[in-house]
Amino acid sequence: MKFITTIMAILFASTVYAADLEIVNPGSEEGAFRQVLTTLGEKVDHAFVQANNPVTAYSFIEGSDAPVLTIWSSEWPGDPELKSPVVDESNLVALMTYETMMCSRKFSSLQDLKGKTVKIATWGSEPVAKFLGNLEDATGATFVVVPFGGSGSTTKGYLAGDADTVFTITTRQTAIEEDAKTKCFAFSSNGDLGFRFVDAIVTVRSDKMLTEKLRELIAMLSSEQSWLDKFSGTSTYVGGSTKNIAMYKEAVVNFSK
Amino acid sequence: MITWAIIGTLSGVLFGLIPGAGPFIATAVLYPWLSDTSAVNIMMYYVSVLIASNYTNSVTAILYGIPGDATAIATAKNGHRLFQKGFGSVAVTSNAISSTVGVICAVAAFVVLLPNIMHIFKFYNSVVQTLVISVAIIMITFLTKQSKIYTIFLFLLGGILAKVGIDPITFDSFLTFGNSYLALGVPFASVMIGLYIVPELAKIHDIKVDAPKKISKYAVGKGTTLPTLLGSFVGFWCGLIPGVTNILGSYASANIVKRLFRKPILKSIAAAEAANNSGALSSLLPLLILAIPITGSEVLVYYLMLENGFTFSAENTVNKLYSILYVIPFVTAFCLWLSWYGFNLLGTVAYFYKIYKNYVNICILTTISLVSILIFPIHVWMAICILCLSVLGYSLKRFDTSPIIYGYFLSDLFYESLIRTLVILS
Repeated sequence: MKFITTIMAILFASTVYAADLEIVNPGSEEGAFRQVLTTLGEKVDHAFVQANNPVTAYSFIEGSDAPVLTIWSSEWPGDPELKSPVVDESNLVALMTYETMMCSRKFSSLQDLKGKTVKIATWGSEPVAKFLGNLEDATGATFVVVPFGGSGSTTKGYLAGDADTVFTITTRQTAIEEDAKTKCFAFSSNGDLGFRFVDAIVTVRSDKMLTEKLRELIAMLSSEQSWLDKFSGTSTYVGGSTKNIAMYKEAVVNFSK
Repeated sequence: MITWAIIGTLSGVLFGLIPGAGPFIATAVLYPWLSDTSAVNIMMYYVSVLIASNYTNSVTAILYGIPGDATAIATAKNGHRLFQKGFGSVAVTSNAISSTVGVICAVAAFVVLLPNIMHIFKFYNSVVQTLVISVAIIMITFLTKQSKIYTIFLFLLGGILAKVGIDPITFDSFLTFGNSYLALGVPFASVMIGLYIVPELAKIHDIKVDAPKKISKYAVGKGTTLPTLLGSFVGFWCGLIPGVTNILGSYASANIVKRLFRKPILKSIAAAEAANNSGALSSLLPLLILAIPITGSEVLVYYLMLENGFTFSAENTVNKLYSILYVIPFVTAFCLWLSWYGFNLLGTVAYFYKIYKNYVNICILTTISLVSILIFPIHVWMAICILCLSVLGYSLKRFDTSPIIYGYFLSDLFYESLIRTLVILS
């Protein structure tokens, strides 16, 4: 027992550490948030925090003294039980919108769903459930949600046959269409689906210069072909303009309970 | 590509020897350099790390009873027992050969199955996954030598520790009591250190270690061929399941062999090591074909390769990465040679360890804990968890605490799979 106590004394003495910028990922390890933040992190010195969910992410953000860069989904501020950082003109680095799609190996159009019970692989989150509820009313279908934690696991589950239909972001289209019987038939970009994800890339406790530097970085990266390939089906709007803030707030209102 | 194979092999040897490090740290440390190279080099590096670290993590498992990572727990239990009885040489040799067979089987299966890979993924839906995990839980509970009640209790303890914090899907909190630290959850590294490594080190403290015997010829323990092939088979399929991977594969193989064979200790090491290497390689298939990383270290590789413009698909894997298969035999041959040739040297290290056991234990525990604390963003919380769980772990030193690790690892996966299964079958 004595040597364990000695070790622990050494450990506590070594816990003082600070980074210039902390990047906090409130999403899953294999999801799209991680992909965006990792891409940005490769261009700036930082410490990376994999929080897995917004509650833990907010705890990290609140508990840190360093400037933080994170992505915050517009789904979350509408949930009264979740704490969210303020998103305004001074700290909004960029907005990213993720178009969504519906694919199936059993159905080939939204009209096909009418009167059918559809087992659909998608997120287990409340806003998605709310959207599917509205779609049930519009199409006359009954959705039975097979819940997953992120876009990566949703894709895997669908391909494994957990559901006959999938609702996810269009960046996963190539992987989903590896299944030869699958047809992607409805897209938010075409106006078929009234739901897309709007996420804010924001800084917390950052000075104006750092936020501006990050905006310039995203402006540069998002114009490159590799970014467009990697995040196909997304749009990036750089800066804290009134228009961008309004777009985010509108999405928050749409997602609110 | 050859250069990256060499760097990967050396890196894997080194980080495999450091308990708690493994492929994730080996990849993270070289991240800046890897991001400047091509996708094929990244994958070459990673495959070399996987192979090499799976050889050397078993060396620490056999010599010290401390698994380099969770995949070597079965080897730590059985191999260290042999080492203490003076049969460490056979354990290490068996480890080396069975690991090699595991790699060969995985590569062969990889080549054969690649054209029909989509059919394999169709087989692994949530219902099958729930069944596999259920069988694993039953095996862990009923194949243990200690009281089943204790095993169930320890398994549940692991499950409860894993659930503390916030649910990533529903955002519901569990046992957080409004405390912001508890909302972060109990980190796996602290559970591994406090509730597995500390009790194991405490057991070692009371055990006499004989001077190691040197091996003078290249010998294989009797009757390990069949267990090795069995382990390769089980490990390959377990490697394809997200979350399960080679961790459960090695444990399952060792337990199947214990049940099916007489004089099973050496045979279970052979099966576990073959499964470990076979599963490590097969776990790359979901990443390469579906762009779905299923382990932490694969996430790093995934982003590195994406950054280099690689598109994950069966076609690209065949066209752009196939050349890696030609280098793997050389990496494997080197690791086989090293794990045999290095044995006598490691035997000397073990003798040194016998004399300075307490100091070495302190160094090992301090190193693992410091690395874990520095990696975890809220350092104080990790330190608190390690401290509290170490005290608890010390008090549990008379038990086999490995069910805690499996409880932590399997409970969330089981719960999520079960929910989906109920929906699917409803």
